[in-house]
Amino acid sequence: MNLDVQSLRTFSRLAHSGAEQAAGSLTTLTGFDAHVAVTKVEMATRADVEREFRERDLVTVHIGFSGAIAGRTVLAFDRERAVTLVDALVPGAAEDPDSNLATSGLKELGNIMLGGFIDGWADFLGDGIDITTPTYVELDAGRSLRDVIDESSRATNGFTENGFEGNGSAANETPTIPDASDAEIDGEHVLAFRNHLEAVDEEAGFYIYMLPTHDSVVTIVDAAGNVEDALPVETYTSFSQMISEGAGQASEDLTAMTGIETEVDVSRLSFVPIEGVPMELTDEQRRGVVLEFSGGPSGYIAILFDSESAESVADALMPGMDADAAMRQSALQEIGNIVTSGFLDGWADTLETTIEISPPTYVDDIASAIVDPLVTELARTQDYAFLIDSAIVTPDETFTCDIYALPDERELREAFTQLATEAD
Amino acid sequence: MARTVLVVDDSAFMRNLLKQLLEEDHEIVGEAENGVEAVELYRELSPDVVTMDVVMPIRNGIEATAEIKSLDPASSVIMCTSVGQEEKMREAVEAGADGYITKPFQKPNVLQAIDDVVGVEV
Repeated sequence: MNLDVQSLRTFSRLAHSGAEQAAGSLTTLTGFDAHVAVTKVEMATRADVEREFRERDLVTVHIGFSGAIAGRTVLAFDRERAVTLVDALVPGAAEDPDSNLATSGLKELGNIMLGGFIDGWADFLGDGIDITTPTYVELDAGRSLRDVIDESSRATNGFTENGFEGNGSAANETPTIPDASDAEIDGEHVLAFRNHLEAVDEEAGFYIYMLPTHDSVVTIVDAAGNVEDALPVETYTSFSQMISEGAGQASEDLTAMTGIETEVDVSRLSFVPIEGVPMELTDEQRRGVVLEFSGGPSGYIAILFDSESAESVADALMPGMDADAAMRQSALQEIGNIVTSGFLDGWADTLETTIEISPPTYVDDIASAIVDPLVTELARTQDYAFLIDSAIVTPDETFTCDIYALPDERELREAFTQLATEAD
Repeated sequence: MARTVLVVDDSAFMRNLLKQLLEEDHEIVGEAENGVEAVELYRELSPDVVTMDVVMPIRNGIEATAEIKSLDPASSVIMCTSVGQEEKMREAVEAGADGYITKPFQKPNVLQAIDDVVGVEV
């Protein structure tokens, strides 16, 4: 399977307009004014996607789809948000959010939102896409995506104790439900679409995930892609692997510097509209460094810690020392420097090039504001960005280190081409 | 016998750390926080060894190393940097670097690098 940037843009636009349609449906049904904050196309490992689900206490509604393209979509929201929605849909139902009436309301909401989400893809392909009845799944922390999809598949095929509330199928016959593994593109990676919706005046968000099957990705690429620019999908997964290895090296370096065991928690490559990048970062205060790198590819990297983590790291670097604020800041800059090198050196060696790294600039601001000037600079020449994000954590939660890299899109594409050529 | 060492790094933290690692065995005669200062201090102090960061503002460590080597071909410069790219190491060698150690490093690594470059005193 080949994949090109034009296809990624098309994927992103379709997913975004589908999510806008879903947000409109939500507003109509519940009165909550919602908008789409950001749409990402993620090239992630299955484990990373699963982790996103596992770490949150979510209420989810699933539908499967088949026809022109096949796969699964999931509407996910926090439990508290679900209760609010239930009450808006069925006044009084929030008193017993686990009742059949309440879950039925949520399923219908999911049915309408996800159905609208899928419609745009069908229109684009000029073909029909059938959807299954919705399945309601409470996703307690600790359950994997595969558990959920397996349960969803069973439920959609009629093996649930509660039965179905309503029929969301656009077809007379029950569509064939793809297995979770159908979404894999190389046995490990999945191409996932993640739409983050926000309700106006509310911080809590909703998420729509779409996991198309491998064959469906091929279908969309054939319809939307630029064959000349297309690269084997393995190129992207090779790069994802390179990111994981870079994060691993950065983690080892952090451990060597601080004496605290660390591990890579997440490592992802995603394709995002450039204006959506700051929204991918938290609005909470972060401290750390920003560095510019240049070569093949160029770009920016931010190494960020929450305030508590920053203090923990500084303490670990200078044990027993009564260091002043300037020295603590210098220590953070140095750790940012070392983490960046660990992260990028492997890229340079694999691509047989050099990547120059600027001295670190200390930053202390809300995370989205930290990346804002970097995005503004990149937006002069590109409207989409490849966002690389990794998190390094300590098992005992002593600190968390977030790494965000924003390479120049054109130069990263050239790097992809080089990787593809070398693979040949 | 202790060697005289000039520590060059734009990070105050790293200069401090290197001083802590080295002061028991060697004499720190100066500190510089960029390549320009490094060359000036080298002229002034003629240290036995320079520990040189690579990524620094104003003038980077590879340029500074090349200049120190042109001033004094017998000088001993050890790159102490977080940059571990093979191509960068080649550039450092071409500039005349005598040793190259990557951060994060431990005390024995730095002491060994100094011994390797200037020889162990008997």
